[in-house]
Amino acid sequence: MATENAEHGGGGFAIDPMHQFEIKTLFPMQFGNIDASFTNSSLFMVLAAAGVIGLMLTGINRRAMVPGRLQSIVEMSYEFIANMLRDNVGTAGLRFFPFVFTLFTFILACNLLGMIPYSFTVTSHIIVTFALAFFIFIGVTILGFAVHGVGYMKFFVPHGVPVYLLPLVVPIEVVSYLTRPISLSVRLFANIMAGHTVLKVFAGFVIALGAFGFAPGIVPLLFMVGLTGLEVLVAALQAYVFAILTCIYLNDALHMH
Amino acid sequence: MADPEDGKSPDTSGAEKGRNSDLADFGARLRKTQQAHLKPASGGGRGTAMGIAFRLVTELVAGVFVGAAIGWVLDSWLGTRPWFLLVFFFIGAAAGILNVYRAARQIAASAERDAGGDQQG
Repeated sequence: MATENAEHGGGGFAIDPMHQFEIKTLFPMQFGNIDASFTNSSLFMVLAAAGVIGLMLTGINRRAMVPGRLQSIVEMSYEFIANMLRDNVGTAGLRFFPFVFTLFTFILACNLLGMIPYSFTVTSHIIVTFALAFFIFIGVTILGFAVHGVGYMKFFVPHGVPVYLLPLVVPIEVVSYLTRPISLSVRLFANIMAGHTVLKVFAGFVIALGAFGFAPGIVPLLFMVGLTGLEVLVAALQAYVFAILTCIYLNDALHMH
Repeated sequence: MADPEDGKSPDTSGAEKGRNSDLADFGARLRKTQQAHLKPASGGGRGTAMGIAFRLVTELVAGVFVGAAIGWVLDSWLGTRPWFLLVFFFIGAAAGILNVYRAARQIAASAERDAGGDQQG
């Protein structure tokens, strides 16, 4: 990552920590007025999906009684998501296992791929995370109405509220419901983007302070080593948070608290 | 011939009996495992302190943002600027605080569940 900064900080210390988030068109494509070009973002989405599918298929290829390393990874991720659904939604939630599992592994793969130097982090773009969150929101709302019918509207009317307070409470509940896709997408995007920007800024410090000698340059480098570890944690944690909030929303739609 | 039971059952009825008890034993173990899986145990939604702080902040900001956005859209649609923006800004802020309260309660509940649920884990 430091070398990338050196490339772009050629004249003086003009380091651009946001350069890593730039979208580059790889294969231009145009459908009518829609620019559907295959970009570096699309490439890393394909890589993430292909990586997950490849890992799963090679992992379950042997189906040994005593699992090997790859099979253990596959089995552990299966149990992890299955337990998450059982804990948060109940056994009725296991119907949505494929959905939550796909979501979790895709986001985790995107986040971890982004930790490789010179790669592109798909989830650092709000439009990607918002699209994911918005489809979850729409799907969960449809599920709620499919399960409870019009009764799902009672979700916006809390128990034990006096009638004269309802004109105030119901709009608050509706707005609270509508914030779900925003908070879900902003959390993932902001964590990933902030983390990667901080990494680039510290990488810039290595070069800037390294000009004064070895000792001042090594300090930000040590910080970067620690921050990289933290970023790997954040990458996994944010995929987990995204999946668990999806479970909580599914639970609300199925059981209405 | 270390096991006395093994020596006593060369006839078919004994083998049948053994298989049945094996099956019952298996059923009991299966039920036990399923029960263990059904009770909420594993640590859910705790995360790091920074993660919790970030979660609460986004809930609050998203509430204000969505409220203000709804107000702004209604205003530009009905031409009543700035009244809906003002009203929905405060409704959004209230929704944000409500979300923070709910998220905090959920985090506290799962932390408590972890503390009481699995001591060995």
